[in-house]
This record gives sequence, structure tokens and C-alpha cells, in this order.
Amino acid sequence: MWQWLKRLFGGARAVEPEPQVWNFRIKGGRAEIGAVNDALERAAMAGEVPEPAMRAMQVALDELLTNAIMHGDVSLNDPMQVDLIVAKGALRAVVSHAGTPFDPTKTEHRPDLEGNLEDREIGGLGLHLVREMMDEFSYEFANGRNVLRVGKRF
Amino acid sequence: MLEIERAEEGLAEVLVLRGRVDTGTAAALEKSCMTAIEAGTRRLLLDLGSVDFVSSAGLRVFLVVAKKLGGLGGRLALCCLTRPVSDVLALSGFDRILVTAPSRGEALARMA
Repeated sequence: MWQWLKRLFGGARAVEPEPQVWNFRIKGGRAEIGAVNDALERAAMAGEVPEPAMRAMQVALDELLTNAIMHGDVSLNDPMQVDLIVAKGALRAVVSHAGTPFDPTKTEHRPDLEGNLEDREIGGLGLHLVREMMDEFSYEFANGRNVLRVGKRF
Repeated sequence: MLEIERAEEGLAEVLVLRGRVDTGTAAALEKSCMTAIEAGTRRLLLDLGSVDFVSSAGLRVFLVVAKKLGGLGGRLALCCLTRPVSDVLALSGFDRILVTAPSRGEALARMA
């Protein structure tokens, strides 16, 4: 009976802070991506996210949003959505857009990181940075939208 | 947002950058570098001491400018890297193909 009451009223549970979520809609403008960056910096300044995690997320989002705008055929009438989520011990982002289906977690192309200056090319480097800098990186196509999730634990 | 301030140090031109080197600002950085090269600069130093982060759009500019200067017998160097910037350079292998130095003075000495 006591156990049941405790479960019912949550008495034994540590109180977890609710994750904070910010939502953004991006139609392709640089200023809108700037607003996402500003929100990340505010969260870091407020002490909610350590700076290294925040910077890593800024790089990952620049790569993912740019890819979607350049290659994903994102329509102005159906903006990209970006949700930033600050949870306990992790900074996460969910990017969704109705552009051409493309799973960036499955790209075969691995950039050549060894060549000298003359041989080096930039293709594939952006997604390489996302893979290396994020602890979580997943993709699904759901309800006609590409849904990308990235996360950095701290 | 990225502020680009020009300074001259002996034979080199220094561009002091402040802000983000990402998709939104890479074109402005490339233009500033190319303008300097067209005006005769062959030793170009980017002071990244106040740069918050660099994405692949910024790496592309570093690569294009380094190749351009290399072809003209000149050199690009980067100095004063912040932690987020040096992490990205290391992950992309750019720390091995670009001249980097902890201070402006050391970077200029390596370009001399």
C-alpha cells in the first residue's frame, strides 16, 4: 500500500528539471540560423550548457541546416523546423524539413583527411564533423519529412 | 556575424576576425582575403583569437585561400586558435596542411 502511494504521488522520485525546448522555423535565411546560434550562446551564458558542447552543436547545426537548404529542396512555404532541447546532461537538436529524402547518417563518402594542401577537397567534410563532434546522430523519414536528431552529452 | 579588421605587420597583412566563421559569413571572409591578394598581399595571417567556431564553410575558405597564395609563391597562416577552432582543424586534418601558430609573432616568424 505504501509503495503504491509512493508511486502514485511520486514521493520517492528525484525531481528532474523539465527539459527546456526552443523552437525555430527556418525558411532559408541566414538571419534565422543566426537566431539559433544566439539562443545556444544564451543557454551557455546562463550556465545551462558547457561551452564546448554549445560550440560543437553550433558547428553541427551549421552543417545540417546548410546541407538541407542547399541540397534538400527546402520550400519557403514549408519551413524547416529546429528544436533545441537542453536536458539534464545533454544538448539535443531535432531538425525536420520536407525536402528531398536524404539520410546523411548513411553517406558512404568519407573525406580524405591525409592528403596534402593541393590534393585536399572540401566535399564530405561537413558531415564528417557532425559524426565526429556529436554523440548522437540519427535520421528517419516520417510524415513526409526528414527528421534529423543530434545530441551532445555533457 | 563576423567582424573583419585589417592590420599590417611588416610584410604581412593580418586580418583580425571576431565572431563566427560559418555558412553565413564565409563569403565575406573569402572576399576580404581575395581583395588583399589582388592588392598584392602574399603573406596573409588570420588572427582567430576571437573566433567562436569554424564550420566546414570556413575550412573551405582557408583551403581556397591557402591554395591561391601557394600558387603565387605566398603563404597563409592562422594564429591564436580558440579551443573550438583547433578542435575542428584537428578533426578535419587541416592542422597538418595549414600553418598555425599560438601567437601572431610566431606565425609571422614562420611566414618570413
